[in-house]
Amino acid sequence: MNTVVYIAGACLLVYAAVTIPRNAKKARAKRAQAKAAMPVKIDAAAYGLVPAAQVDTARPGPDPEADAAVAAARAGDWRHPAAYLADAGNDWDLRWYRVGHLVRAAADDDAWLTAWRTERPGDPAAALIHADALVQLAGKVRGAQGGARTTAEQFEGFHRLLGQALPACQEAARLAPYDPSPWVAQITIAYGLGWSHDDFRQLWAEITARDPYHFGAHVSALQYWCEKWRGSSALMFDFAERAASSAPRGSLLPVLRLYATFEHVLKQTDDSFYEDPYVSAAVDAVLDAVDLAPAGHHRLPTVRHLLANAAYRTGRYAEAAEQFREIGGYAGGVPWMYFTSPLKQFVHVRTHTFNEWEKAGRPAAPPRVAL
Amino acid sequence: MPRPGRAAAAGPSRSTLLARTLVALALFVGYHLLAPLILAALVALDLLLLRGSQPFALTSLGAYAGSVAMASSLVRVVYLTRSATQDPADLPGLPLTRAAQPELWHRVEELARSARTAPPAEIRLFSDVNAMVTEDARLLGLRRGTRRLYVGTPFLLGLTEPELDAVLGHELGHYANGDTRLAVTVWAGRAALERTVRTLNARAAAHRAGETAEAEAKAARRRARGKPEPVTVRVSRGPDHSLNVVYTAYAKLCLRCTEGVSRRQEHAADLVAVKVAGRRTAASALSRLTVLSIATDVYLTSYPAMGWDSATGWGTAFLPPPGQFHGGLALLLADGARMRELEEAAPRLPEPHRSPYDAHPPLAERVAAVEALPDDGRRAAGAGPAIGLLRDPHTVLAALEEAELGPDARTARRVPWHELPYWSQRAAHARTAEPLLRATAEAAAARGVPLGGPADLATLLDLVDAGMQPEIAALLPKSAAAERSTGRAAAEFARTALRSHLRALAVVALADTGHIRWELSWSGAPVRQFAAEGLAGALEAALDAAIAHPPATAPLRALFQPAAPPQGAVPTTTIRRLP
Repeated sequence: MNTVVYIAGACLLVYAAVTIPRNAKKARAKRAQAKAAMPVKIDAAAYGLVPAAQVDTARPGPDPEADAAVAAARAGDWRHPAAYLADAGNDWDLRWYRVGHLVRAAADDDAWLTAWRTERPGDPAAALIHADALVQLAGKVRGAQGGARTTAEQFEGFHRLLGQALPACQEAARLAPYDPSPWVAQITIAYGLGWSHDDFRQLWAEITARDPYHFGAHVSALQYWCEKWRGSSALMFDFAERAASSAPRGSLLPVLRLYATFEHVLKQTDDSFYEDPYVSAAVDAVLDAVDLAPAGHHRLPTVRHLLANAAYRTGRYAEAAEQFREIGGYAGGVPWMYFTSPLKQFVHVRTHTFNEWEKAGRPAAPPRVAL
Repeated sequence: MPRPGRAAAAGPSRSTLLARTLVALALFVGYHLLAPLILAALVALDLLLLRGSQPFALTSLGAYAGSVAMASSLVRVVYLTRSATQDPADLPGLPLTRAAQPELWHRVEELARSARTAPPAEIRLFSDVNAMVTEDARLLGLRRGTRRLYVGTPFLLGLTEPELDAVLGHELGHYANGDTRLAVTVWAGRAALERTVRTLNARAAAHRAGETAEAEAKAARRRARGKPEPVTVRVSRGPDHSLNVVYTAYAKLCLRCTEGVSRRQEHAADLVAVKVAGRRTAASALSRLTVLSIATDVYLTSYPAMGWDSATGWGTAFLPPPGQFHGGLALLLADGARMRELEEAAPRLPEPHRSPYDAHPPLAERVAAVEALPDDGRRAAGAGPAIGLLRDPHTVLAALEEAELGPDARTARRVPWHELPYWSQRAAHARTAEPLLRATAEAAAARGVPLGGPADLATLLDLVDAGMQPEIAALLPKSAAAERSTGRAAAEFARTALRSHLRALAVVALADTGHIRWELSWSGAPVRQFAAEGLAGALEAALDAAIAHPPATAPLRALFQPAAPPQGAVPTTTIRRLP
């Protein structure tokens, strides 16, 4: 009987030796996970911020004019959107920005666009919306997942629609020879269909010949040069640097450096790249650009989102807090849109920014010497 | 002639060998003690808890339940599966009786005599790339049980008669080599241990798969209700996993300790093979095994089952003529181009079917060891394939096929090899097109359009011309992504679905009118598609036109107009369909 007890005891010891450390490890991991997930709360109102529950994740900032045009389009009226677009005049980036709003409506339901094109055949603006809506629609059919999580059916629709979009873009370009927009729309086709670097440079030459500092075109082209599409980290930084350094004073293009930084860090295992002096210099340049930009510039909200994130990551909490105040209750921009829950990511960074700022004793942002 | 002295010189000395054999024996006795020990430990644990201060606390109750689960799983795997495999009805393959196959029996008995061991009591034919002798171990293998010889059809089709002799000599040699009786015990005990680990592995994997499926279903239910997915998906492992860990660890220990013995046994068995078949034949048999094994893999994945679809089962399946499901391998082996391709590929590939618990040294090493033996003057005889040993091989192979595929396979249609690609490709495309024909009939019925007979491509195109394309596309089965989409994106998904179904329907029609044909090829891609030059491009363009807005069906109709069979056609695409 003794032997059995000994054997049983030995078995128990072995069992304990295996399970106790394992359970302890599991419990430790779970505690760490719980701690990381635990929300840090700040009182949004106390800092003059919009509470998380009221943050709008559909757009980067307010634009009542665009909303009115889109609402009219959805209601089937094409004259209002057409006037809204024509109002942009020769500010090509503003025109492209407005096209973006209208195209989102056209990619859901194109009844108004069909009416427009039937009543005004050969209208360059309608042709442009039609072409870019096909590109948008292709993206919607494909979905935003990586290649491995996209089905053959999704790819088939994606490629078919991009195939239709290219002649539509060429037609729109024929109708409006001075407008870079039909060419900018082709950037998405270029990375979707995997154009060669030479072909893309030809397209880029068409765009820069019409508008060398087109913000929308640069942001889109940065995607082409990304590692995840057709370029590499080096090509992407190269492109961002060339565009940012050659842009005239007051241009918002320096933000490309921050966009490239964000894309680069996404591929890394940690955030250490933000400690690089390159990033902190880039943040300075963008702060200057934002100060110089006229109030109400249509690209300011987009820039502020990237700037707020970069300022927070580089430990410049005063500047980040300032940007978050300016942003207000909108989270529909990069970098937040890259995450499963943009709202969570936005609120997370905003909360930590204000916590750190509080800890540092609420410093004021240092004055911009460049001004 | 075998040279035991040489082998001994290569391996450890006789006394250390004995010591090792004893260690091995102890380990295998330990294996039989492992199950009772675990059971005893579980009982002891329960008793300890019962007599402790809180015998009915929640944790104690959990421990009782856990120990019962573990004990029942252990008893089931270790004690109950053993008797299951001894059930003669469960043995793999087809018995070859002495009355039906006297030549084969005579040959095997002769081999057993020259290997100085008892002949098997039963010979079975199966379809693995393998040959083996098993013996039901009794009393830890100390007493002899029923001895069975298994021969795989690939060996009969791919080896010559003398080469088969060498392979069978090797297998019989395991029971005959001059080693001690204990070595035989070790070899027999290994089988039991391997079987236990395999069963536990399978059970643990099945448990895990079940749990994962359940977790996924739960997440899907939460998604459907609009809730976020659970943050931590915990998959519990079940009692089989813990037992598996214990037994696998033990098996690894045993194998590590007995590696030397096992290798020496394999070498000794190779020597028996050399003795019965001659050095050159044995070496050529060994070196053919890799290519034969790859050839069989290629054959089974791409050829006989090309007309079988896992979704529809045997109902609409096409099979090669009776006896050819396994027998067709001979046709592949007879193809010079394919064999050259495989022989070139073989050295680059890892040896197939090698489990980590396999005692065999790598084949290349064994071939080298056999070739290093002094020449015994026996030539590698170039006799015909070993299938010649069987009487009436076609009937035997047909019976084996029936036994392995099961009675359901009887409903499959048998077609000659050269027609198999046509029938299977046509059936596969027709299956893809099926929902479209159903949708066509439904859409017509909903509109009250009378169809003169069952829906076909012509009626579908008429309906498309009548502007019913969106209605028909909407009736097609939708993918998950298509279900989620709205507005124009949803319409585009429907268009993609319509196009792929329409493509299949058009291919069936083109095959029926002789514009496309498929041919079997024993080398390269199994099925080659032949079509007139430019047809593939024209088909894609016509499909694009048919799904466009507004649709144009004329290009598609035009494809069927000149019904000339493709003469002097060039192969445009090759299709590789894997089951």
